[in-house]
Amino acid sequence: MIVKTVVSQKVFLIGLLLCSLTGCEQSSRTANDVIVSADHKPVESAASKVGLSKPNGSLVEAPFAESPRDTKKSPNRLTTFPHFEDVAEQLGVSFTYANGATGKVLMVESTGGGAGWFDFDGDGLLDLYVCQGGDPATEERHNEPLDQLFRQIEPDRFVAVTEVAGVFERYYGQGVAIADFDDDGFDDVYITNVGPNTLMKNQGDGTFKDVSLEASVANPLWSSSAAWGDLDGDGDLDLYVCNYVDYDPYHPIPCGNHGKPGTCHPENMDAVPDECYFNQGDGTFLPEARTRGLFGPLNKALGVVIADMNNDGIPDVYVTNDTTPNFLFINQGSGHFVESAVQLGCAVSREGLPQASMGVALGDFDQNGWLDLYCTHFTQESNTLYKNLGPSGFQDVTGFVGLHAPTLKYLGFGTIMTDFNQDGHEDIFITNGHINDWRESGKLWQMEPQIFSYEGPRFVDCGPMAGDFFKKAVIGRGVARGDFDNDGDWDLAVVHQNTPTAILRNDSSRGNWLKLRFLCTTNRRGWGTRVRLQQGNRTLVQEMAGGTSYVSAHEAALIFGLGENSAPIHLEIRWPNGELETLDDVSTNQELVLRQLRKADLKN
Amino acid sequence: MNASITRHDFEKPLPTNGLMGKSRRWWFLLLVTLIAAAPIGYATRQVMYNRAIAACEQQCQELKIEKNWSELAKVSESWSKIEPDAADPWLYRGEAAEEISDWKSLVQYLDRVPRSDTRAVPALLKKSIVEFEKLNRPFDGAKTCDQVLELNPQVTAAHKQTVFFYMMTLQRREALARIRRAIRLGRESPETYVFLVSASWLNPASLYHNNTIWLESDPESEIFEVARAMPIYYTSAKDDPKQAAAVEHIPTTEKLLEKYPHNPELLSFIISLSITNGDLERVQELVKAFPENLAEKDPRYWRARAWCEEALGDVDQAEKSLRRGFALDPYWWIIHFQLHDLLRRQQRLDEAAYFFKVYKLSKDLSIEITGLNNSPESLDEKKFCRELLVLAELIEDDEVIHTLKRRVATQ
Repeated sequence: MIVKTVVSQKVFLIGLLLCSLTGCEQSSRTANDVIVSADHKPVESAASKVGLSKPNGSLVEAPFAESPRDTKKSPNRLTTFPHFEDVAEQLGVSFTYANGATGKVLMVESTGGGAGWFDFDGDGLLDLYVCQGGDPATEERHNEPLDQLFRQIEPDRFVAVTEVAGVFERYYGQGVAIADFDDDGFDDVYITNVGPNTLMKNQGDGTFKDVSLEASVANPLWSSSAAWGDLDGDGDLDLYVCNYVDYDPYHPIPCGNHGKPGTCHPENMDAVPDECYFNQGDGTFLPEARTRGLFGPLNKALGVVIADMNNDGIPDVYVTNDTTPNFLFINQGSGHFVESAVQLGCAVSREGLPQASMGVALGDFDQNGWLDLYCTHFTQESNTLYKNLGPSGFQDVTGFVGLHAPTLKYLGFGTIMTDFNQDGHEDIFITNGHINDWRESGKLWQMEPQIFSYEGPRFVDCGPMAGDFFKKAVIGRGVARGDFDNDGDWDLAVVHQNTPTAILRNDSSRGNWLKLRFLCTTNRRGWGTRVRLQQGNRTLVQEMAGGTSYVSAHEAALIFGLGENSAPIHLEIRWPNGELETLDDVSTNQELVLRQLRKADLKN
Repeated sequence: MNASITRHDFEKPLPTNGLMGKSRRWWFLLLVTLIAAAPIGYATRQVMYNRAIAACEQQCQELKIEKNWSELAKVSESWSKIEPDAADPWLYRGEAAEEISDWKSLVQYLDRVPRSDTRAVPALLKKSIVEFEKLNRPFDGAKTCDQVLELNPQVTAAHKQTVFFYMMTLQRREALARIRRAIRLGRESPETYVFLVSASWLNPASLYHNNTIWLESDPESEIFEVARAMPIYYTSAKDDPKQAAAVEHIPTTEKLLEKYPHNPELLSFIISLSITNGDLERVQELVKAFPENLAEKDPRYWRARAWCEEALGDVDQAEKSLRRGFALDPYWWIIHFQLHDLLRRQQRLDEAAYFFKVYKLSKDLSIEITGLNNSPESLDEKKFCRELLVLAELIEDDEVIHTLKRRVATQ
């Protein structure tokens, strides 16, 4: 049992523009009790008032009962929808994930690739790592294309620095997970591959070093998503790696339909177990998934979230599995877990059916203070929204909130639940694309991405209003969120197979907002930190969750959308080690870095 | 007419004369002769009759060996006229009719086999097969099977046939009643258990084939038309460009519902879609369209009702409805799952755990059934029965436990 200490109402707020986070930390030590607000121009709010909704704590809710938001549907409500523009080309991010398809339809061609946002050089500007595929059928990787690292050398200008940075990653890439595993102040990159995975240690001098073998995390299986989080509460970050199925692209088994090659169906493939690497604090890891209960039978994992799903203050692990029930590993404390997804109602659909789960989004769409899950699925299954009811677990409310029919014809992968236009309510972005080219049969292969906005009690499809990007059909896979232009809203990197990766600049007409970053006494970026924001009678909860989406990594930050309400905010921060801090009268429309006080600081 | 005859008249002595006395003697002798000759005549006639029968039988046997079916038909016809209450002539007539593919006659002849004859049951069984297969008169076939079971409730084949027919026409309640009867009598075939577990949800692809044929026998039949369409709807074949042309003749669900607005199969299917889509208004509307007499006995109705009740916040009533559904079909996995789900959300964890356990077992069995892919023969009977026994014990279905234990013991 972790004892939670309410430290005080002192939280250090440090200007984001104090360059690197390492630098920020040093500055904060000399600036005790100084609150420095971010030097960003507040984005003009679209209006001045917003409808609020109350947390709902009842155990069994009537899905059709009038929600608090319904009652607040007033002319005051912000009525704009998210809007994006693909600016990859003008930013200089020229990258296409090549799945190496040659007509053999190897199963591995269907699942990559991903991207991750991070500030690898600590200059305050987000950079982008994208993994690359290549020829999946060749074991000789010397001539295969490299993953790419794009450095934002000045605002809105990216340059590929891959080789300069020593990133020689040529395996057949699937995804990216980013965190500062050795807590040296510089984010490191874990790349999942078909074959050995790679841990690229950021050496702090603008270069990376492959430490996979030393760290013992070179998982040799076909991995998909991965996530970082402090699962055993020892202060350093552990790594959960999703493994998919047992498939050898060098000696592939033939699959197909009516004599035509097709992607092997996962039901016909043997599962391979996931692995969880526990950080030993000395640069090495131990694979302990089984001994810690992070193991379920016959799973074919594609997505993962590390977050506190049951509000007990410690991180749990949710894993989306393809064609088999999803897992929810509930943390018992001390890093031991019990798989409880079925008992808690988030393993299978409302109909009791396992689905072909791919990506997973996390958010609190109903603002009840419990994190909900949104899983993307195969065509004709519809994606699934699991509403977190609290102690009694989850409920599949997909149909109730109008999300069933609109996703039936799509095959979803990467997905993000967040408030893109900062109207105070969650939106859901999904990138789609089939794994088989069945156009002859009249089926979609390339698919438009989708975006839904929660308009209480239902989500509405706002893709048609969200920009030209949503009119273009692609084979979408990974999606990562990051505020690359530092304007306080979430932009997106969307990886497509065989067509250029998109960088979606968020041009939404927005409400008020607050962006938070963290400096923790345990893991530096604050993975696992939960923030409860109170503004008037509305409470919003967000968490620095590990993983989410699909094979992608997000910027280590939280952004709250506040709609038309610009009143001061009360923040309650629960740090990864369970300590609580609160902060009053925080202004909106700014970006802050919150630093966790060390016990020694408190004594002083 | 005799009003003038009095007692006095009877008491009067009859007039006597010589002529009358002679005549009387003749009459008496004739009478005695007749009395004496009657048995002889009868015996003679019987001998002749038996000879004729024996001759017929002999002839029939020979003609059968000779495969002279037209002659056999004639001789057996004559025989059946001589001896209409005997089984053999009808059986020979049937055999001759069968050999010349005269199916209509065959079923008539088989139906004439006296019920008291030990061969009535096989004859009727054969009749039912012909009615099902050759004559395409499935309802007659099912009725004949019921006649077999009236004669002898222990005939497994008749149980099997009726269960199959009612399942294949999606007359689920009738099927379930017959499944239960077969199990109660210990005359269940292995697939009876498959149908027991899937009585509320099975829509195999073979429905299309079977009901396409049966529909020819009665093109106006709602039962056949709906049953033919259901697998098309469940597999979304109409939306599949590869299959759409082949199933163009199947009306859309909405069109068919327009034609049969109270059909429980159609209602259940559209309700299921509407539930998934969260369309409360539509589900309420469809639930109301369930015919009252069918609704009471249909677990799908209770499931849909529970969904509406829960959606409107009446969780207690939703639980009651789900339990009604459970009582009607205790093997339907979706009811188990939803009861588990509802109870879990009410924090009634022990009860939720019970239904979760039941759900796991019923769901596993349903997966096995779905995997049979229209061929019940591929069922791993031993495994299936053992798993079902565990489930039956959990839901305390004594009838099934009893017969399954016997079956498992002999496996």
